[in-house]
Amino acid sequence: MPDNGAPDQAGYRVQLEIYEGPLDLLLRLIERDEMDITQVSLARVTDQYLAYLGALQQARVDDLAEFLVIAAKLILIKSRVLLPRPDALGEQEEDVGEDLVERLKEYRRFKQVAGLLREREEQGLRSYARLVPAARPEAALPPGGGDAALLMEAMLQILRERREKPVVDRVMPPLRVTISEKIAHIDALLAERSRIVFRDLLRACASRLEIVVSFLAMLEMIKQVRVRVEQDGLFGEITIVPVAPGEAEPAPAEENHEPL
Amino acid sequence: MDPERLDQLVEALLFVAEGPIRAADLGKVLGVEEAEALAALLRLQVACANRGIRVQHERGRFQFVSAPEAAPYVEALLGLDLSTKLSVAALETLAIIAYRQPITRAEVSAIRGVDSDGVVRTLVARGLIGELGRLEQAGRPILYGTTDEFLQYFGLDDVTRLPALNGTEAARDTSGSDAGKAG
Repeated sequence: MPDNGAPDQAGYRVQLEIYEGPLDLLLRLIERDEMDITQVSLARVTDQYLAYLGALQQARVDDLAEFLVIAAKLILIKSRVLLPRPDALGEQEEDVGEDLVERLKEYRRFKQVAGLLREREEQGLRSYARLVPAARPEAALPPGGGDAALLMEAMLQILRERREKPVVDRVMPPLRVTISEKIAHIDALLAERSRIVFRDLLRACASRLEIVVSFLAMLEMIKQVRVRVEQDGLFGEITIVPVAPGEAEPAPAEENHEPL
Repeated sequence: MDPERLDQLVEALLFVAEGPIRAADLGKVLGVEEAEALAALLRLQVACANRGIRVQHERGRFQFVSAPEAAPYVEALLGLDLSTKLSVAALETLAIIAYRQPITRAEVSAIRGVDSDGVVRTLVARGLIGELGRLEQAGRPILYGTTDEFLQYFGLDDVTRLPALNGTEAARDTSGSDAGKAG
């Protein structure tokens, strides 16, 4: 960058280098002149900094404010370095220069590490963890009953198999099924069979809505500890069996289900 | 348990583990104190220093990774294309976070002298840094730290392998510190 004179503005724009911010710019100005980071060297590069700032103002940049804040500090530092001043000046003012020197030194240290990281990146010195997980023997089945996730999977399976049937007659009122009706239905089935295959229960349903209600009914019964579910193998059939009366504390029944 | 046997078992478990694993978890499986398991892991790390696989240590968790020197061949084998490079801003930000973690975005911006929100977001998206928790002060700003992917990207087996800043300040592994309230 020229020290003095006024190069034409177009020339500036072409030569405008990209800096990572005001500290980056300051650091490079100081390093270019092979100076240590001190208040004196900051004062010496102030004019160059301001010249760059002038060019920056013409190129529109987002973080101009940050450059301006540093510019103000530089001008203050320079004025103090150049002008003889009475000792009476407050200590607070002293800090502006020292503070900037310290910040710049700290920033330089991180830039050095960034350079080292860049080197490692360029050398391609990377490590790789195993991308494919280790082979895993088939997971042991959970002892006893299944859980909600199992049921959900079976449910989704059924829903995939059965698309909603088109409504032929729009005048006919839609079937209404409530959760309590379904619970009664499951109870009745369990009374005669003692166990129900979950899939069969869902197959008997006339609509997706009914499937959903059946599913909710069963969840409710599990919650009330009236039934539990078992699965005899991974992806095996899920069966619903009643819980014997003494087997568990019944949870309080909830009767606040709105009909769907 | 005699140390030789412990070393073997730790190596075996690290091999089959699907991801980074804690010394405490190894200790539980092997029926030894966490400190013993940790000592065995660190011995393994030293033993692997010249091997094709290395032991990576990040925030108290260990895993096997390939040696950085093998990277070009690993990439050829796996068909990886790694031509995109990090920007200067990204590298600066990573350097600051590696030494000052856990750290907030505002603190990173203050050190760099420019707004760093965008670059921090990008680094999170790339998985090179992650959230460690939140600082218990006004606004509860997010605290960031480097990840195991950061270590892998630069082929470091431990963040403390980075040279000390100014000869004194080492890069930080925050495993011991409590970075605000997690989550």
